[in-house]
Amino acid sequence: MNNRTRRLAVVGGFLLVTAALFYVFDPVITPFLPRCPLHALTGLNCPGCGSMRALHQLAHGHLSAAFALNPLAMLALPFLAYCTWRGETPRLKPGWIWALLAVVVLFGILRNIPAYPFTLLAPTT
Amino acid sequence: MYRIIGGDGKEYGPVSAEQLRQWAAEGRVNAQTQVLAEGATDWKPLAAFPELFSPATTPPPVAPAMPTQKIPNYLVQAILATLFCCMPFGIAAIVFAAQVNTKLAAGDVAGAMESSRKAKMWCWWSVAGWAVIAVIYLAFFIVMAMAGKLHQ
Repeated sequence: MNNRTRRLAVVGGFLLVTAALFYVFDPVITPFLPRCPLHALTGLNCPGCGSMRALHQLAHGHLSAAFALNPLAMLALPFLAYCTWRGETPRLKPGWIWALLAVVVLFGILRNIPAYPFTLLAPTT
Repeated sequence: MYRIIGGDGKEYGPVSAEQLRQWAAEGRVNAQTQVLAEGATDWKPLAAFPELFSPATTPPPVAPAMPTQKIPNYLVQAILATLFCCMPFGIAAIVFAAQVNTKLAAGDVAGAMESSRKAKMWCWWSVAGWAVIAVIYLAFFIVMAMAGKLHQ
């Protein structure tokens, strides 16, 4: 099995397990799916908040609900799928990765602003 | 006239001594190139033909270009770690992933490998962090559930 096939097989298996897990279990009511300690302590929404709940909604085909919970995570998924398929993130110009980091950090900051339209970025349960 | 075996394994010729000397000078044939002189029955390396080959005339062998090393930046894993596992550790992983590409672009292969190693490490720490929090939360839940039952 060459590198690419192995990579796609691992990712495919991982996706299958994740999809099944989040189809069956709703993070809101499932005790073994962790809550964010940062959120519990500070009430703030980090860039990842709502992502697991979003996966649950996605597994059930509720796209808009998934987006409402964590738009960045939902947008990241096709990008990550593309990178995995092509296997070519090492060829990205470094500037793009630093820009990506900036987007993630910015998202983490903006979604905590309690004013429209930034509230759209925060997880709406 | 001579025949030679080229680098592709194919036979070339007949070529003149002049042509062979020219090729030697250009580095297109070297001391090991197999040569069959007209009328001869066995192949000999070019070095065995002093009339064709003089070590001084051949250019020094060019070192083959280093193949661009595949140093993974773990960017996909780092993004997943940040958004789905453990944000602070994931951010660290993204930083090191970015460093891999920065250093590769600057030609710092050793530095890129080190950053790659660190990116991978932070990705695993993110998973571990997620698991630890999961266990703590589950334990907390169980304790609360049991406490609730005690009050009934």
